[in-house]
Amino acid sequence: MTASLVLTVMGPDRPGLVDSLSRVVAEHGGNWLESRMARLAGQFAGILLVEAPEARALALRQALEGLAGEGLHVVVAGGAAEASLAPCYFLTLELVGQDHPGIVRDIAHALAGCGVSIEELTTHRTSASMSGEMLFHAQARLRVPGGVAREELRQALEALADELMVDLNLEEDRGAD
Amino acid sequence: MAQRQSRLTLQQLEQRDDFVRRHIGPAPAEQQQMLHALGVDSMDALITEVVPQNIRSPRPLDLPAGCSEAEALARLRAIAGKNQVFRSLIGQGYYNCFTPNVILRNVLENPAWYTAYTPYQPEISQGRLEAILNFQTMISDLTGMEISNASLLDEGTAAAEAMTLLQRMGKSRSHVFFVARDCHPQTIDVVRTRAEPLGIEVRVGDPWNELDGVDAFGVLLQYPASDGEIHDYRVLVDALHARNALVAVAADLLALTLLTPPGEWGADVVVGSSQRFGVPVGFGGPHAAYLATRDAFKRAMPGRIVGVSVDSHGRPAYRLALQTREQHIRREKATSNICTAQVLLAVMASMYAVYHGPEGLTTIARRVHRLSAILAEGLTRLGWSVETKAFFDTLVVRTGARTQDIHARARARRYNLRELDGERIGISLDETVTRADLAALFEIFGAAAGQLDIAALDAEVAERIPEGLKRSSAFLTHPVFHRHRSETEMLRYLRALADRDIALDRAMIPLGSCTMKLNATAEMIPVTWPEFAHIHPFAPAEQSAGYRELIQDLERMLAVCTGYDAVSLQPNSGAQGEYAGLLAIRAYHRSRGEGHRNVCLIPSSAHGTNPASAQMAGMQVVVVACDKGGNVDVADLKAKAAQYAERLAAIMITYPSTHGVFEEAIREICDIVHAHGGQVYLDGANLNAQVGLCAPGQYGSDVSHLNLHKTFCIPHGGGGPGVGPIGVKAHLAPFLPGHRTLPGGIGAVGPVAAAPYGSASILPITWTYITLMGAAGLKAATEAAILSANYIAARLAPHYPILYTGAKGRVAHECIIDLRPIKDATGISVEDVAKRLMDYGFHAPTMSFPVAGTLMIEPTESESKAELDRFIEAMIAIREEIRAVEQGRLDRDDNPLKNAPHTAEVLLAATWNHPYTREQAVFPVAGLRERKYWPPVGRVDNAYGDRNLVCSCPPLEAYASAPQEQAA
Repeated sequence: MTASLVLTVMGPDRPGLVDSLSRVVAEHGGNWLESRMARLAGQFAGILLVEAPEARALALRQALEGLAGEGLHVVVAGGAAEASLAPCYFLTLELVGQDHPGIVRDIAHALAGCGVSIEELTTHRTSASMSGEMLFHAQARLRVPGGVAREELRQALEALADELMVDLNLEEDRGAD
Repeated sequence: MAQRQSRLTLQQLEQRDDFVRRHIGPAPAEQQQMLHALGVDSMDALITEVVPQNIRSPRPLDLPAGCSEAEALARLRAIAGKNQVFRSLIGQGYYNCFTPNVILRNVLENPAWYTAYTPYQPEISQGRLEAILNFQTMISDLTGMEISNASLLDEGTAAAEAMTLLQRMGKSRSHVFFVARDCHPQTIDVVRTRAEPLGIEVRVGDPWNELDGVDAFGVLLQYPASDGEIHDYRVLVDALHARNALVAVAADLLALTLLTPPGEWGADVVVGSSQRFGVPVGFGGPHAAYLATRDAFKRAMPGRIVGVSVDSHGRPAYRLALQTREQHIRREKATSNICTAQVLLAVMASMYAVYHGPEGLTTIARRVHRLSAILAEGLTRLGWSVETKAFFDTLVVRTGARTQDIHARARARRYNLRELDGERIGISLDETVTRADLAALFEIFGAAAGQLDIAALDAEVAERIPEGLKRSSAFLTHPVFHRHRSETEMLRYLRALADRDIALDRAMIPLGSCTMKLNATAEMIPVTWPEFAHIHPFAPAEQSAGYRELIQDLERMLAVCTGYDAVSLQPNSGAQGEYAGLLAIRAYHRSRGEGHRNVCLIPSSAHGTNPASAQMAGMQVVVVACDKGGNVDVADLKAKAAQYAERLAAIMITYPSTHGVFEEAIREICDIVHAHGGQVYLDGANLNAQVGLCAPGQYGSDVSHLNLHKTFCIPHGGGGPGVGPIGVKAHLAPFLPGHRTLPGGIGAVGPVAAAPYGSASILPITWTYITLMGAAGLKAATEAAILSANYIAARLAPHYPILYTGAKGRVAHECIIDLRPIKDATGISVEDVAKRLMDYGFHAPTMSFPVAGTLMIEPTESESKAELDRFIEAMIAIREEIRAVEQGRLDRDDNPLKNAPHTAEVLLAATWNHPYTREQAVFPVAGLRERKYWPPVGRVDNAYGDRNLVCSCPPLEAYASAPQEQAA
């Protein structure tokens, strides 16, 4: 029997953080399955899915929480089997616009209104060529309920695009699963 | 001992190369010092390190030696003298007008206006931004639309942009665009050219009878029509909207002072030319076209738009709005490649409206209309049939068998009338027409001297504008169009605006990739000579013999400089040149039965216009990777060329690269593409690093556009005009842009611009430059540009990382400094440095192009060593300020960089709460005490402006109610 653990990790960035984390996982017979990690403003943070033998899961959890002493705060949750979901499909949303507070809020609100959930979200900012003004880029993978037509979602987002002065593009998810 | 002076020869005393030394900033002795600083012995040694040996031209340019300004102008006078300035009453979108002299001298002939750059840096561009905002307000008011852009290239391309805008915004799935037969013929031609690669079917016909059953996504109408007739389109437009078709209207601005504007009868887009608002016809250009539309379409609008935002003190400030739309975002998804607009001409047109005001414009329009009504009445009394019923300024007269005779009689009196066909003649009047002209016209049409009394006719004729289409709405109500009626006020307004800006008359503008070199006065002077300024583009060919000689001369000069076989001067911007070049490639493949070739390879470092132009030319963009050195990744190129070999149409490559480096592999790159059946489009944006040293046509390229407004001294005009001729090898020559007035006609690809030679009236600038410099001077200029860039790179290298260099550690004509490490360490961004340079009196280098977080510096050959050193001093001083932030001696957030630029108002606030001194804020280096530029506004908030979009003049209360200076 194996247990699934989902961890979030965060701590001031320094060399060796992932080393500590992976060592603890390995020492307890854990298997590192999927993760997304990044450094932002001096902090290192990530989300991570680990599998470990049922019998050793508690010890692993305690060892991970013990990493706080090294400055890495780990929160562990038990992985839940994905509830069997209503029919759905996936879209990729790409967005570029002049950076200002509220873009993510407004887009997320519109998506929630259509019952769409955000599976993954990556954002960054760059300096626009010539003018130097800040551009906000976002890429999201969306889980769309089968009952919501792509065109309907597009219109909801397009209405926002004018207001937010962003350019957005909605495409079939290429990495469909 | 007797003083002895070596005796100079007469030839030495004649100083025929005096201009070369004035054009090139660093004197020979200074160049030696600069070479010494680089550790090389001679210019030849430096150039050998920079330019790959395998592309060097084997021999000097085949051009004559340079000459003096007096001699060049005398030769040009002789050429100009071969033009014959007739009174052209041809119309068709081009009208004579009076340029108010205060505008002629203080805008068109004033370097403070014509040497400015596109206002990307709003804090130092408030003057021309205000002038453009006036233009947008004028256009919105006159057309009755909600939002106008800051100008387009000409009416023909504006109509083509309207077509694609309607297709994007409409609900129709149709691919048919219907164009009314009575639109200007050159407009229809340009629309056809632009439609074809996009898969749009253009149907030309009578909108009243031939639209039934046609499912079109959009319709283009002309108001008044090309033949002068004023139609009431209201019912038609409603019917079209009911069928999901959108409507674009090409409208005449002067007529709109009297006519119900299209915005009031449902037009979705209105386009046209602002030429007759004080801009000389100039054989076809440059003039500012306009495009206005509904607020709902603003995000899809082509071209630049000026908007109102606020500065860091909460005061209104202008800026370019919605900039992120095309160039920065869409690239290969772009729908328009508009980059340059026609700012200088838009400024002139807007100032014409400021000068005349709504009453003045209306009076001019009424006069033109009255004269037209008198003409129609007189001709009718003489027994002629005037076909036009409702008109503003243009009539069609049925002349039947007498047609040729009337034209001959007109020409004998030095008038040109419009040759409509063998049966009918068109006559268009304008603000320069007088009673004497009417008397002459009556005599041309057979009246005996004094047979018709113009005063008597004046008393009798009625207005010919339909009652239902008379304008009732007010326009130009903003105070700016009312306050400057006296010439003194006008003069001071123009001066006050110019004083807010940094142009080349104030300081170096080290914009990488933009080549802000000297625009010498001698080069500018011929532009306003009447022999160049007052020729109608469709006047009979023999009247423009001087122009044709100049054009032929210039085509040859440019062919020599580029190594190509043929040149077209028609494209009126760099991006337009790209487009024309790709159309040539496309037509070439088709002519060989390989029309399926549609893949265009573009390196990731390309300028945003490249993929946009490729898309417009119906090509599919495939991006080629660049390596760490910023060069094209040859392995990736080989892979992509092989992968797409069957469909490969072209590569678009910039050389020297957008990274400012002469890539060693350029010959190999050309060979790879040719081997796979593709053509090489070499973007000539950086030709100024090559002239006299190497020539694209000699090392493997098939076609290039040249930015005459970079390499060949046409000034930037604050964001246009630009001129983007293309040079091609012989096999592409049959596919250069055509025009209905050229001997070859429309040709294989059609026209890309409304006028046969594009922006003809500014071509004398380039002709004069090349004539003055001669072969040796041009080469010396290129070498000096490379030297100056390397000098700056070498002097700044100890302070900032230089991002890309060639094989021998040298840059080409520009260098990129990398500020990303500084940003990571201190939070000081490229924007902070750019804005801080304003406090030092400089326009910033190019920001974040081609690499985000960097500055690209291009000094050009024209800046003296003293100015280069002043700039270097500023950059080093700024680096020291950054170091102070780094070391904690300056606050991370409240420091001179983050707070830049500093206005006089900030400085004079009662309290000064910053942890640095006022002196440090505004006089960081000693030289500024004697020579200080004061930015008129604090840092402009870009995001605020886009979220609160205002693109016409704000009411004056907006200024009055601005928050007072917050505690600084």
